[in-house]
Amino acid sequence: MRGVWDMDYGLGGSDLTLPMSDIVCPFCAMACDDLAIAHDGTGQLRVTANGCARARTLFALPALPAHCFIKGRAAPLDEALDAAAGLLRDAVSPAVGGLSADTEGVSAALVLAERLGAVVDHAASDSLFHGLRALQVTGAMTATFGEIRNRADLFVLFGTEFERHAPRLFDRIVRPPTALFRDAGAARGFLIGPNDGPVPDGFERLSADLTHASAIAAALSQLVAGETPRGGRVGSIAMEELARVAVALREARFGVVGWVAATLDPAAGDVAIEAFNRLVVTANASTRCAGLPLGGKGNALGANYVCAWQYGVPLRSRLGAGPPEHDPLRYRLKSLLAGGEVDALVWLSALNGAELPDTRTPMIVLARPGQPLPRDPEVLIPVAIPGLDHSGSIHRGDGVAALPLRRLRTTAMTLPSAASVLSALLDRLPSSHLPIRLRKTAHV
Amino acid sequence: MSDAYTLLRGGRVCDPTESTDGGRLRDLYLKDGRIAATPPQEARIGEVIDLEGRIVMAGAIDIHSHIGGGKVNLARLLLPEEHREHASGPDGLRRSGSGLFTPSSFVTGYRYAEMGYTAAFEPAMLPSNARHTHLELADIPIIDKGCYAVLGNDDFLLERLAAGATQSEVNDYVAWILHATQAVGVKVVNPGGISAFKFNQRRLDLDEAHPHYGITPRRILTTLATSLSDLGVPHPLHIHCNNLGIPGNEAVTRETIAALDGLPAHLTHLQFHSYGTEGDRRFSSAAAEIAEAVNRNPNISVDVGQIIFGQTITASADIMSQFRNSGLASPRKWVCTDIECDGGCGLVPFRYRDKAFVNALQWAIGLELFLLIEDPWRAYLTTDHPNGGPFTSYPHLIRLLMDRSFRNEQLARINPDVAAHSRLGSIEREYTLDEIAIMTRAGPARVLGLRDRGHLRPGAVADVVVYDDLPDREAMFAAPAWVFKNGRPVARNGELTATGWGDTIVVRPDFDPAIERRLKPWFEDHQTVRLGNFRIADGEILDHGRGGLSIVPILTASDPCF
Amino acid sequence: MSVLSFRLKGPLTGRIDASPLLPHRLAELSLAEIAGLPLRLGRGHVAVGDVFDLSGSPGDTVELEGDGRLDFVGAGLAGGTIRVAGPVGHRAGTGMSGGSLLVEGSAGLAAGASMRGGELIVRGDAGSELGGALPGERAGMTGGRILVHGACGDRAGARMRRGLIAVGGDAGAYAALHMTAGSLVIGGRPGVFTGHGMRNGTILFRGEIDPLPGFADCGLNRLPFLSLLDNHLSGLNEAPPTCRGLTGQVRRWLGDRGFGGRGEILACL
Repeated sequence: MRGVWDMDYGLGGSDLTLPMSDIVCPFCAMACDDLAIAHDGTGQLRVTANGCARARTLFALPALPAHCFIKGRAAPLDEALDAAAGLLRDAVSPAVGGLSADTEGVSAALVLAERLGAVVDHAASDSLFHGLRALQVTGAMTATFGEIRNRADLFVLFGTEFERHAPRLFDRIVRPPTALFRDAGAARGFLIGPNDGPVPDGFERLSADLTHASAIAAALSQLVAGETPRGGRVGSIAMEELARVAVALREARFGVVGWVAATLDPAAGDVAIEAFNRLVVTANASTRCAGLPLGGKGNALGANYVCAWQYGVPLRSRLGAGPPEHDPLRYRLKSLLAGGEVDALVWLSALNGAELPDTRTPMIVLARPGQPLPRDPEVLIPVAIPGLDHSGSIHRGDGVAALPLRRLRTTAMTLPSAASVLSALLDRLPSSHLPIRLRKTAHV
Repeated sequence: MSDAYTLLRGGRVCDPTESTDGGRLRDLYLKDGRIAATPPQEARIGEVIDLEGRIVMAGAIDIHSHIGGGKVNLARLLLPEEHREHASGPDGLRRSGSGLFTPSSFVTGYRYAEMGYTAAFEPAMLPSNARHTHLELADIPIIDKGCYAVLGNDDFLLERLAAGATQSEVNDYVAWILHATQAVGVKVVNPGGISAFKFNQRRLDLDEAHPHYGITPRRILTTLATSLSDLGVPHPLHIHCNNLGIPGNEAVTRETIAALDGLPAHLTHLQFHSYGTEGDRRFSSAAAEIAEAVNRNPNISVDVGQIIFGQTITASADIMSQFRNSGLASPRKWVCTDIECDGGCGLVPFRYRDKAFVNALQWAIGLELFLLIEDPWRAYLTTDHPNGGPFTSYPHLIRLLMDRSFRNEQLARINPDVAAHSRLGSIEREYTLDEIAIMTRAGPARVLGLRDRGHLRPGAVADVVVYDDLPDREAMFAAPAWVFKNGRPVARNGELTATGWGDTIVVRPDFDPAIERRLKPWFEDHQTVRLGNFRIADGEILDHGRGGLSIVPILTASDPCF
Repeated sequence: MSVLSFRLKGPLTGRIDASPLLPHRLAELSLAEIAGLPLRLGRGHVAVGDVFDLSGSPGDTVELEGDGRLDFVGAGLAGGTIRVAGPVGHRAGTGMSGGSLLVEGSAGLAAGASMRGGELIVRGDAGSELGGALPGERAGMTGGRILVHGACGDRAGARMRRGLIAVGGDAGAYAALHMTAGSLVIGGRPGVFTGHGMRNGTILFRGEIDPLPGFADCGLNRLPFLSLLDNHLSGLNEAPPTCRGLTGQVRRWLGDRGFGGRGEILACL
């Protein structure tokens, strides 16, 4: 039986056909999978249809030959791996961060972390944890893109720079070409956030500082429940304006309360998301309504999922030094680096969204070629880009779909995948659990 | 391939497919991962293990257990407190892990293996979440695994039914889904109801028209059940009936059985669908009526979905029901997601309390079902993990079924009104070892179409479990003396001794590829994933280098109906 | 009264989990045994004796020299006294159920989270999430009292269910976040978004605020309960002085109605 299987290029090692369509873009959480990619035979790819600006730039990253480096000096891969293993063997407080990679890359990084007894965290965990902390304490009521594009007749979106954080959201999801259960062209809604330019058709902006998002959402919950919040304004939005939003939510057949986590109050994004959830649940007393988390890069949600299914704990945990230990406060990598609490850091950045931290902590960096580096790390090992140079999978930001990545090009200088490098690194570390050592303090 | 046999000598082999005389003493030969016929005299025997009369059974099979996928993973994330309480570090053999009723992937495999389970089936794989599900299953060590694809609330099917699609077209679609999602069966959850909830309908009865599509749950059910029968898929439609958990739902359960009208079907977690409305609390056991319906309809198999007292989480695709139950969440947090024109995900943590009348009666209802359904070939042991309780409670459940006085002791400790509202105390039946073997091995294997599992006849996969014949059946089943997976020892006295990777079990009925001419534009025009990216290629499973794909043969006209 | 003293040998080279250093855990051990106990450091352990010089004798009082990298000081304390001459790191007094933990310096993040009983006193400042909850917990503090003389960070008393927190200085944002009961007294000024998500309980401070829209103005009141509270505080050795005298007329706000709450914010005039 023939059929759909002839699109199986790039998975499991088969050769490529051109031009390639229905290609998944791994460069943000929208995980658009309708890209058309052309290949010029030298390893140069080009988006020919359906990619946003970021996709067009990143797919065009050339497949350059790239060396490993040890403290800025070019070295063969084996030497670099030996140097990395040497650094890690002696580490007392190792960490594995970045974690911007496909499922397999993240999985290999976590195996390494477990062997090392390391703390694991993703470069984008501040945004990720806004949603995660809210989930842990209150749960969530959400819908995925497929439902929203077909049903949602009202959008209340908290955020700013939607084109940057959620490219093509309006074209693909808010106003798709067709919709099953609503008039696709009639989507309307409200953007709540700072003024950042013109609003899409059918939308109006309620200007607000997003540090007030939790209070605004709480006031909306009151209004939707038929109560009157006190005062004339909430965070610079007039109460009558919010009242109109509440009416719209009550009258909608399927309302959406969405948010770009990265634009919320960095110290209290989870508080806002908990309030968004309350608003959604309140609206569901009489009609249908769902939340929609937006934004994210570097497969952050996917990385967190992998950690949760393999170890039972989310990121910001220590693995392998006893039972898995999750602590969002004590294991926030940015805080640990700022406090000089890490003595060896493995940084994985095969995809985008994991800019290297500016730190003096000794680093072993696995990054795609051309990744900007603030300084020469102890060890730099360039790795292949998932979805361009090798197959794999990533998760889409709305939480359900995992998309397949394909190998779109092979060149003579194809770099190793992050997973293979991490495996090779693991092989150089003692296979039994690293010994517990008692160490003297500096004073003695 | 080796030329040496492993000999398991002098065990009491309890294989109900051969005999039901309580097991007779005989030797078992294992070779190349399979049970071998008695070899010739000159054959090389590699290892001999003297079993000294211990009980030998095939590896147990969990026919319905939520072990992997988006829903299960969200449950893990929802309950960090559970993972703080139950966690283990790496020990040179095991990887680390955490959770008791939402265990992480590695420990899931270890615990099943240590208990003598060699296969488990994820019953609620949403097609849109299939890739994620298989990624998680790939990280469950040792055991074989498979999934049932959830259909019956997917907009493609409902639209086609509403437009008058033929049975043949539906069959092609169902087969296509089985291939595309790498599934071994199809499950329907609250047929039409999950979809109705998305249209803001809060309840849907068996003969009620869907608010948008106008078709009834009855039609969805019977069409899908017919598909699987037409396609020759051994596992019949796996049905999570409408109105789960609602007092009085025994009526819709019996109507569902009647609606199937002789078509093979499997009713899952039947306990949750066996409630009456009698008594002053308007909640009563209808286990006797439901058991009678099952007894009278040999086309029906069931798994019970027993509840176990304690903290757990209810995880289901049935968002209509879970949203309704969200007020009962304990602790008070819950998840409800509308998913991809496909289904939903509802998670409601729950604590079953033995002093609470309703929970205590639920406990009794499950046991009544086990004890009143006569044919152990058609009733299987589950807790609908984690909905009723964690799978690690199966040994306790086995003891309740085999040991009447233990059972009655428990009955005496729970809410005292239950004894008056349930006939459990008067039921004398005790399951025999043979019946346990049927209910946990031979029966599930048969209803899933696993011809070389669930028994120990030559040619079977050498998934072998050896138990000490202890009077305390819970201790016996909790810590088997030996567990062999594909002929390799993996556990000894209830402790893991080796790890490895099992197979993913799938079914691949034939279908007319013309269905793709409808599906491709459906995906392009209405979904947010393209058809080519939706389906799971074999390479995605095989390229992990962990276990293979095991394809269940399609039933032909000469095969018996399970 | 026997006191067991721990003096630091030098500045800590990494964060240390000091939770084993509880009076009742050490009471039956010899000094040599205590010196051999492992303390978590990074991915491994360090011996107590490599970090601290020990003196005195085990009993019901432990004295620690403070360090901002000592985490979990007094976590799980069930009885006895721990006195820290200096600062502590994160998660001090987590889950304590009895006894007394006195920190002469400041405390890091999440001091007193999930506290069930006993008393935690911080003479310096306390970081964010004072008396809060562990990940996933819907209730934070369920008993005991926390007295902070300095200021505190954000989310003091988050999800509090019972007990008393008194902060002498200013509070950060989101004080009493999602509080379900108990009392939070602020001697300085409350921060923004005070009482967001409050369901029940009391927040008390001096001076007026303009609270969140979810709070309804219930006007000026004289509440006898406040004298009782003040009396109670007067009986506590370490009650911050600025938390005293919050009696008399208060403006009472009820909310957070955005979450169906009926907690009270009391602005003492």
